[in-house]
Amino acid sequence: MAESTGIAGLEDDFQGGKQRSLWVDAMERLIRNRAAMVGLFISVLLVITALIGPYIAPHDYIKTNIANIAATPNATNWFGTDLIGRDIFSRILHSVRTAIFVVVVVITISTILGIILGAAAAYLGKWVDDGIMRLTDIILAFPDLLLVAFISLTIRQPFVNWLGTVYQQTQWEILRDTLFLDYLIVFGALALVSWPGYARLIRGQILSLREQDFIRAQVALGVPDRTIMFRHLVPNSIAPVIVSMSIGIGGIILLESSLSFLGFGIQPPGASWGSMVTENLFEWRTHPHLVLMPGLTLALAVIGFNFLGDGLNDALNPRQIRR
Amino acid sequence: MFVYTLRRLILAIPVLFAVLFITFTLGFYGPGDPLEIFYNEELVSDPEITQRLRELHGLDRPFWEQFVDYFTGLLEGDWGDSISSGRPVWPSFAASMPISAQLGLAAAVVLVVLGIPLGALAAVKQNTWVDYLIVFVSIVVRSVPVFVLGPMLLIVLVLWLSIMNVPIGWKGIFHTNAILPVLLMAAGPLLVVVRQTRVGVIEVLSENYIRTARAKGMRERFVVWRHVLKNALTPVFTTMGLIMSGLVTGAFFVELIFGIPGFAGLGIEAFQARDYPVILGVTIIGAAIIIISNLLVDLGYGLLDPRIRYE
Amino acid sequence: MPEPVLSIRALETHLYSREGTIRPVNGVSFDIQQGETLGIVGESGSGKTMTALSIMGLIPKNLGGVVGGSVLLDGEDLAQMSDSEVRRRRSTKMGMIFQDPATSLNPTMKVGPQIAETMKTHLGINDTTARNRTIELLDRVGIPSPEGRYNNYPFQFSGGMRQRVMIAIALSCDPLLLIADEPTTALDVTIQAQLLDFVREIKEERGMSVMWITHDLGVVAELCDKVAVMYAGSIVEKASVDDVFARPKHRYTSMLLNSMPSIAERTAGRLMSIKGLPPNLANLREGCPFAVRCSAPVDRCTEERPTLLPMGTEHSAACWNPVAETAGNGKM
Repeated sequence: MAESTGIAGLEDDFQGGKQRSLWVDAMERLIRNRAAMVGLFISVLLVITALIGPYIAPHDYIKTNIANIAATPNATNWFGTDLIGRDIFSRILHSVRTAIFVVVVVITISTILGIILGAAAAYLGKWVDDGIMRLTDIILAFPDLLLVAFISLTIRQPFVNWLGTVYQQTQWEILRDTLFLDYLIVFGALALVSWPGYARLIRGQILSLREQDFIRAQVALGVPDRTIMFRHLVPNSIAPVIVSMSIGIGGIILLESSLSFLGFGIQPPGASWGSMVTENLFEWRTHPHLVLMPGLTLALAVIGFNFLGDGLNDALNPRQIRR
Repeated sequence: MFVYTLRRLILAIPVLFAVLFITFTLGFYGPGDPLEIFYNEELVSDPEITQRLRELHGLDRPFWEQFVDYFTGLLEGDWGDSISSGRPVWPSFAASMPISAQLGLAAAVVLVVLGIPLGALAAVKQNTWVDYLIVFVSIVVRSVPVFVLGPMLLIVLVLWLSIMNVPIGWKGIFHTNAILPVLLMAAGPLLVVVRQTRVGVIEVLSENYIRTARAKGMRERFVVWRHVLKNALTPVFTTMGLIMSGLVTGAFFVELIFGIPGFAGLGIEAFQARDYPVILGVTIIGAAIIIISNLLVDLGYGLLDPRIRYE
Repeated sequence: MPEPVLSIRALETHLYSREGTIRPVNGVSFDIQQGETLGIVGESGSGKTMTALSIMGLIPKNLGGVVGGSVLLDGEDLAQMSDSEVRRRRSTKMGMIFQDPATSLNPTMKVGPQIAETMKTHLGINDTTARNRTIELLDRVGIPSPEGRYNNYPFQFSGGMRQRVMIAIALSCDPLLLIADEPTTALDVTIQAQLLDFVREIKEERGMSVMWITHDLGVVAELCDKVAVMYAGSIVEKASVDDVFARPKHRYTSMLLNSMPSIAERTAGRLMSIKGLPPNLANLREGCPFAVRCSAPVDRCTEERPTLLPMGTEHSAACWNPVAETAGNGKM
């Protein structure tokens, strides 16, 4: 058509706007979002700290020093020391590792569980769908902290017994490590309360996508189920999952700290942000820095993740936020 | 509307029952032999005494029988006996629940009075500094856990600024001591309310019927009040479960920090003392609160959206 | 000639987007006399709706707005007025109905009050009077048992009925001008015909002027006195209905006419289609925006933008190579 006009230079009128992919677009929006960039910076810093923190810690995080208790922040102990003279800064570096470790494992487990169960519910329908959805109803019916606390309290003893039996057969020393046990229980309990959110999200996404015309068109064209699933359904549901993962990170850190606060998290001498605040909760009048230092850093970490999550949400849902 | 209400009620019952069953089962198998927790080891090591104790507490009976027993007990208002005090659980529940309920209600009022207008304002001023500031502050507030925010506020207000005395203890909801606890409880779910209101209002503002209302020449204030808000609050409503969950979680910490003898504080003590009958009761009631509020949400939908009402 | 009810001169509207400023209305001028119906025709994205929204002052501030020209309604320039002055003229001097009756009414509010609140806002009447007038209006727009229908919700109405309710809202304060933005597009053909008859009837009854936006030339032939054809934000041809159908001057108009199916010419062969897409409004090049799709472009078309030139009595077109008289409406 354009050629038939015989007039040069008109063809590119047809191209309209540049073709850009969703991801490039989203990336650009994210980079222009200042709060999200601050969030990204904090998040990256935290991950690096988790990786190298224990090696750069200025002091031993479990070494007590009775001669130097409850010191306020100074040149040697940057964040001060606690009631038995341990260096707070070093302990915080360690709790970052704990927190990030918990976040990575829990998010991974619950996302995988959520995707599998959510997709199964949407795809198989009938009683599978009913069963899985009722299960999420039940889990979501509990206040999450209450359920996590209840689970970690009740499964501990049976779990210890079971690991004892396994130990007798395998002689694996790790099974008798209480820190390892703490981790397993915390992972299990947190993943248990987190997966229903992902499962519902995925199920909802797949169900609503399936009703959309472009998927129906594929079905009508006889495109195989697998192709539809992996070329259309999964890529189109992935953005909300990423958003919800990034928003979930802050929540998991909070939940893990709350758990430690209630005494069901990583037990001493393992370092956890939550327990650092709680151990000293009632010292706020006499030694405010014992609460302030771990509290402020914890808050900063969660703020960082939440800003990043919020920015991703804006970037990946252009329709919802920026018109 | 009646059929709709009835259907929702019937759907909620199995969930409540499942919650009951699961908590009881975990509580039954979880802690190991309850006798070991009840009594000290010397008593338990004597087989004869152990046997008598089991019979006394009905622990020699099979699981199902005990569950039915517990369940029928609940229906009669009997929540079992506390391990630490030996007294029935229910009276202490009955004494502490009103306190937590008052706190929760006051926090809910704060959420509505503060969260919805802020969310709506952010939406109307979308992408201006007002919007950014509101979203920024609510993310920050949400990100600081209550057990950090609480002590921090105390340090600032009591130690540094000395504008109040230490607000510890319960002197009724209208006492100034209640201000901080209520605000702290509302802090967690505030972001949810602000964000949902904002998204809801933004979405509704782009609806065709809002353009119609403007084309009619309605004042902008009327457009927002009469046409936008009612339609925009539905998404806020959907997150009621999440909000209630946040309030319950908040109550745990607030009651501990401020020494308030409420229901959640009771729960914390029970968790720390491994007092199973109390823990069971607290967990079941906690879940019941959320199930009931979700039920109320469903019923509220019917009121908000005529299409559901006439279904 | 009497003063026109609506007189638009060099209207320019900008929308701001990431890709730059879009000019959906780019120097539009036209008049509508009292009791006259002007049809605005064009493809999607040609700026018809934006022209209407610009007149009504309904373009959201954060998206853009009118940047130039004048909109004289009943002798007053809306483009120079404050927001609240324009607001007070909506419903009382100009009413508007929209394309999609399914979403244009508030789903959670009863239909009656949606009409009544308009009158309460502008006419300062009390609840009872507003209610009674609303019921009269519902009756007038052809809603059976209006008393009972007053308390119904929009979802209890059919599409045609909802559009009648929209008309009742638009007419409630007796405006001089009714702007209709493709109000029949979403309706069945039979319902559409009823609605057109009704609008014509009510227009004559009240001596109202109508600006009817559509892409359906059949509707134009049936309803309108004059036609303005829009392309890429500008009017490319203005004439009476008879002239446009019998003697289109602009190549675009004639191609539009040729792409219209007609029962009488069923056997005449394939319909003409206009190839290509309307141009990117963020980035208009020099010359005629239609040149690239035109069936008979000349060199001048890419160099200089054509302006509306008189092509007969009250007939003008913006084309450097207008259709010759003899070519008429024949299939090309």
